[in-house]
Amino acid sequence: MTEVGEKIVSLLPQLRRFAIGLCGDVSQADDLVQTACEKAIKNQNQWQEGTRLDSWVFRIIQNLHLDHSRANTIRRDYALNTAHQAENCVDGVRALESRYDLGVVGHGLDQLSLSQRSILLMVCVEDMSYRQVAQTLDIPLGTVMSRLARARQHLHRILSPDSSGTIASKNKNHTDPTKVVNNVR
Amino acid sequence: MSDKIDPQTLLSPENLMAPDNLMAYVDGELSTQENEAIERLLPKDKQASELVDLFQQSATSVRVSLLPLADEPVPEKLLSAILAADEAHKREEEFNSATATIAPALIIKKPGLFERAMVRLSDYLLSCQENRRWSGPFTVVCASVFLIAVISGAGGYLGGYFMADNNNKKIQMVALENSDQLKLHHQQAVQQALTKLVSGKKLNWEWGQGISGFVEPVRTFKNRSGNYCREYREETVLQGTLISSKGIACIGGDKIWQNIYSIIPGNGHNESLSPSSPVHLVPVVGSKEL
Repeated sequence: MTEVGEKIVSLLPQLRRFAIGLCGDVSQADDLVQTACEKAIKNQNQWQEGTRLDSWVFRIIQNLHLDHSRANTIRRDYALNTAHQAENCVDGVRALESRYDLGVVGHGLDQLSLSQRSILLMVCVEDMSYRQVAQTLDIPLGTVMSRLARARQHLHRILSPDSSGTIASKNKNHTDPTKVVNNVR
Repeated sequence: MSDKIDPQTLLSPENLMAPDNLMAYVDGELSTQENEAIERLLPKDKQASELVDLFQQSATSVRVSLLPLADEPVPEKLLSAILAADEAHKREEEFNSATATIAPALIIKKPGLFERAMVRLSDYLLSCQENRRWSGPFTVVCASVFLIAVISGAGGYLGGYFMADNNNKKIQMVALENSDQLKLHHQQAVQQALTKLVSGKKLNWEWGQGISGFVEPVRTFKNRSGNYCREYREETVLQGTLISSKGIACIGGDKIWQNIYSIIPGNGHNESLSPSSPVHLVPVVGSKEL
């Protein structure tokens, strides 16, 4: 195995966690992680030794997800009336299985923008410093902080039961399949 | 934050209790000094305390629901796909480094006049190959040399084999139509010599039936596309007749040396340059007029 390959394998649980948090769907997350890792292994010369390998792969995952979401939006626009589309909508059972149950937090994450979501995951779950996030995503430190603050305020609004009426029903969406379908992006 | 501009302004209550700074406090991004200052101010500031709670709670809830995900077993399919990708990369790297260890030995430190001329020559020949143009300046370069150029197309190979008419001191190129194995043998020798030998070393090959020879890389240079090219010379004994020849080959993306041209020196009283189409690899047969 290559050195980077070995490290990537040991990072897999973490990479999956990030991807699941990002896209909210386990099988999609696994596809994302696979493509990202293959890419990382192939282009391992581009990784600068001494920097965090995980954050480098996080960035690849995030970019892939962004491309994927864009492609999906385009596809959806073109294929509104196809049987394929109908099939996807009806297949609630599959959606139920594939949607990882992150409960109300998952719902909250869904409502954030992709960049807010990934910054939130990097800082709050993966223990990256603001500076590391800024370097990884190649954005200014101030932008990291403002996006992160907005993401948390937004999430807080969704999570706190007293803030709005819609939250009460979302709190018990674990058993509600329609809610789960809604959660699938 | 660690961006310390002026400790005094940084520690002013307005800056300390700014929302972003409170978030940085929660996330452990501040210095001990800043932390202590905030902790002194917090009990007196209800709004700030609420914000701190907000940042704390949002972080905790995300952590709590996501952290355990890393304890899940990694799907076998994912793991094996990544191992396969790593294996493929490793093999590719090994191949590249194997070829790279040869290349540095070939590098000529500073391109001299000859190398520059060679670069031009090979570029020119390549352009001829593309344009089917064959004229002018090139013949001057090759004065006093009887030149048979065999331009082979992509993947092409100098397939002309030759026999010498010793009495007339004229070289007849004879295609040995039925000697694919000999061609292959010779081709392998050339490829091997160009890939593995430093300039000046010879690779001897032997076919049997009085046919043998050697290939000797002479110089190495890079063409404009940055590919390595090597000039080499060959001596081939064909049933008692010695034939010396020269050639230039450049390595392509497929790691195969492709002949750009070959030179068979003759007695020098006439020069001729014959472009040949990529398909026809037998330049001249029994050339009285030469």
